[in-house]
Amino acid sequence: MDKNINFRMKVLVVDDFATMRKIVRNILKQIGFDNLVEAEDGQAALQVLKNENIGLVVTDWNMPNMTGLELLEKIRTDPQTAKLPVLMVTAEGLKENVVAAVKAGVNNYVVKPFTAEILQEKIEQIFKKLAG
Amino acid sequence: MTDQAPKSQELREGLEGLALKVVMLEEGDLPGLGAFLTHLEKIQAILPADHGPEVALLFQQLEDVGNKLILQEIAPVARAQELLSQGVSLLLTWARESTFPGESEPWKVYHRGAQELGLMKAAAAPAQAEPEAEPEPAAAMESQIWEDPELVANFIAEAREHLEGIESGLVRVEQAPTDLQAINAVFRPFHTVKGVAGFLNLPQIQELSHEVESLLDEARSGRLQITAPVIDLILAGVDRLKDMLDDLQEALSDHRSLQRFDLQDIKEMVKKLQQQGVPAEAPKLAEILEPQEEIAAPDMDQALKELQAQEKTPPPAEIQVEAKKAPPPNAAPPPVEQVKESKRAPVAPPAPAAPAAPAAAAEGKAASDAQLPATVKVDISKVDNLVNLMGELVIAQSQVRQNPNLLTISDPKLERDLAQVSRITSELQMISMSMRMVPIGQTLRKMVRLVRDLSRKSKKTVELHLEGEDTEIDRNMVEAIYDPLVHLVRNAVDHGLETPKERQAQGKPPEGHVWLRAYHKGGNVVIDIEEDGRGLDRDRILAKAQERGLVQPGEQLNPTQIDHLIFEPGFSTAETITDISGRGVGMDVVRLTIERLQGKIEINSRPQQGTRFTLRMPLTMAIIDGLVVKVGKERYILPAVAVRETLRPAASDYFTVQGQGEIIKVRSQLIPLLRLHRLFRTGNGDIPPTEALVMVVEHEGKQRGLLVDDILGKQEVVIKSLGESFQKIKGLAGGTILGDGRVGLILDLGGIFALAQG
Repeated sequence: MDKNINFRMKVLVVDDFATMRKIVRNILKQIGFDNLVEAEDGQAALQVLKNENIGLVVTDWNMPNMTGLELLEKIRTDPQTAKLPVLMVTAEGLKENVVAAVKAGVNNYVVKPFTAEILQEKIEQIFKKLAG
Repeated sequence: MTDQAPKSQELREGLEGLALKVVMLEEGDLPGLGAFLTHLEKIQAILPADHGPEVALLFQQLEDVGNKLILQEIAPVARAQELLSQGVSLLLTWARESTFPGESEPWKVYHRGAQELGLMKAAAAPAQAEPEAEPEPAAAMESQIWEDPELVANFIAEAREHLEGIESGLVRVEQAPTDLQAINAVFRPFHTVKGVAGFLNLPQIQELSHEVESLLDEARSGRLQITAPVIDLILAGVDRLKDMLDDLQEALSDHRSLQRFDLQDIKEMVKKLQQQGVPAEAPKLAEILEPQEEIAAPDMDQALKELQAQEKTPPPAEIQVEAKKAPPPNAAPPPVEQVKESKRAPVAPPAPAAPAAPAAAAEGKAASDAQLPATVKVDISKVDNLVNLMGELVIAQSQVRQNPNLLTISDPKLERDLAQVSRITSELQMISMSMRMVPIGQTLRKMVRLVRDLSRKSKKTVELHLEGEDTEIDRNMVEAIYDPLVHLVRNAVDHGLETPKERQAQGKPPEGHVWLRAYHKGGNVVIDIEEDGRGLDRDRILAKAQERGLVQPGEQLNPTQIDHLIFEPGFSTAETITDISGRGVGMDVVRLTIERLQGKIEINSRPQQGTRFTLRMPLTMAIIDGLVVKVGKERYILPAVAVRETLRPAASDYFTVQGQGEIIKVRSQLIPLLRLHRLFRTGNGDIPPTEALVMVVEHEGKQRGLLVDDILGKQEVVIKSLGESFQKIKGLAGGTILGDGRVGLILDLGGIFALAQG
């Protein structure tokens, strides 16, 4: 377990597909996070961010109304959340997306399907960097 | 210095900043790489126009390396980062000295490094076509599927929901093939299904959605024109995916392993379409069948002609297959069919196929926030239970109120309290019932796909208009009305509408219209299925009915009665052969299904102007408005909708006709009289009609008088099934528990009329 990660922090899972939210939640729980909230789209996610103290956002890329990238951009332009760690979930074969997200300031990304180990590694990378 | 100075100053500073970013870069440092790439872009924007080819190459390779580091496509990482630093320092030298160090040692070192990392080749073919790598399911997830069956079940339900959205979304894409938003809405479900399938270790579902997704991705990026063949393929993909989901569901409940599906055909078609790139002029309303794999159109025509030749008497509405091919693309507006939504949607652009929000809404907190409607997913069996129990509660409550002992107490407070209890219970009942109500839109939208397929196959141009998608209906009825609806829509396109040629010959516009309207009226849900086709051919219907012995020669029937003959069992049999409408499933089945739902079906047809079928169903199957009547010792409940009037006939209006039984005259009209106790053989004396009440009831346009002793009241009754063994008793639709706790039987008029006749 990584000492840089506070497993008590609240993690926000954003995905329009309920099954996918469940899967991500399960994996996050497996890693050790149990303080989880979810949102079914970007708009709802922003609302949650306004009201709650979120430590990490795990968002899908491909969502109706507001893409993960647009959500990320909104998070980065709001001074309240500009530094909030964001992890993007994406699908293989969509490389332009990943590069665009990284340029927009995503902290890390993970390609579906992923295992708990992979996600944990990505999250550890994020917080190691933030701590360093 | 020249006037170029400030710019080169800026350039130098930019490159120094870039060098700093490279130095700070750690392994796997995505934010750092992101900052590097955006910085690189900024510098590129201020590059002097006369920069040499080496500089251009350097910038391109730096960006390439940056991208590959992000995507983890370059190794070793340390070597790649070193290359970045070497490249940037070369650029710095160039900026400082204004000449590129082309022959210098650092350039050679860089060049060698770039070659080692495979960049030189990549530079030649920048957009390397993605290798046809099959998406490998994560091996580590192998055991997950049966571990969490609930998750898989959720996935099946959610995936189906999203697939429904695709079908109506596709119609929009067909109309506006370049509308990126519409394409995205179709793309997204495949993408998401693929993603989740990867987690659940469902390689075939993943593979198929990947195929379709990749095709749509080409369309999104403008490399592929969306034409009818593309849409057909996508629909085929949807169908296959649905089959797979069905299989998955069965596998899940039977604990068996998954079936293996052959995806070769779809994969080949995808490849073919991708290679073609599809010319822009591809006809929209394309030939019935796909080029090679299937039957050629002439063969099909031949086969159909043979079939028709075999028929002795032509069916009332025969198949019309035009040999004519699709209209040229420039003639007549091409849309195969159009969905005109008469929703007063606020601003929203044609929000394509938004997946049903309520079902997908989160259980999470987010959903409960501000603007979003808070929704909870509840197992339908729980709601059914609740509705049932509420029915019981209403009954129990009225039993208490009618308790004779209680009635003797005259206490105003008790009265008030009881009234309060009954108000609350009936409100609770309403609320619990409303929980089971869902908008009918999803069911109506399923017809979009159906109409599209039918119009392609029958070569008729059809515009489908949906109205009243928000109309709510009991969830349990949704499934029950689906089949009748499909049948009626099929008939509308297949038999009701004429071919474009026929229509034009009659001075009608070539495209036919089908309207599907849903609305609430008088406590009923009404669904209209209307088309502007040829109308019912009454002469033919009558001739056929006579031939089949449904009507006696010489019997006088009014037009409505003739139209209703098509609902008679045995009227439409194997004669309506097309591969679209299928065989033998007649309108009688449609009528039966609707009547089983306590509903009614009506026809309104006008020659050459079209036909409208109107389905009228109660809001819910659980409760009907009933009249409680007494016959001897029995109590029956008559559906209030069926009762036309109640009267006590004068002796002069009562006749007994030889061979026809009792008849009463109600204003110049003669109506056969039925005695329930005879039909049900419950004994009890025959009261003369002049001392009893006659209730004139109507069913399928026929009227009968039911003789009853008394009307005890009107009340909403909760329909209870009579259980397996009594279910098939003719004349009874179910039972209920009356206010005083006794059982009342709910009459089924169709059955009673039949009993009286037989």
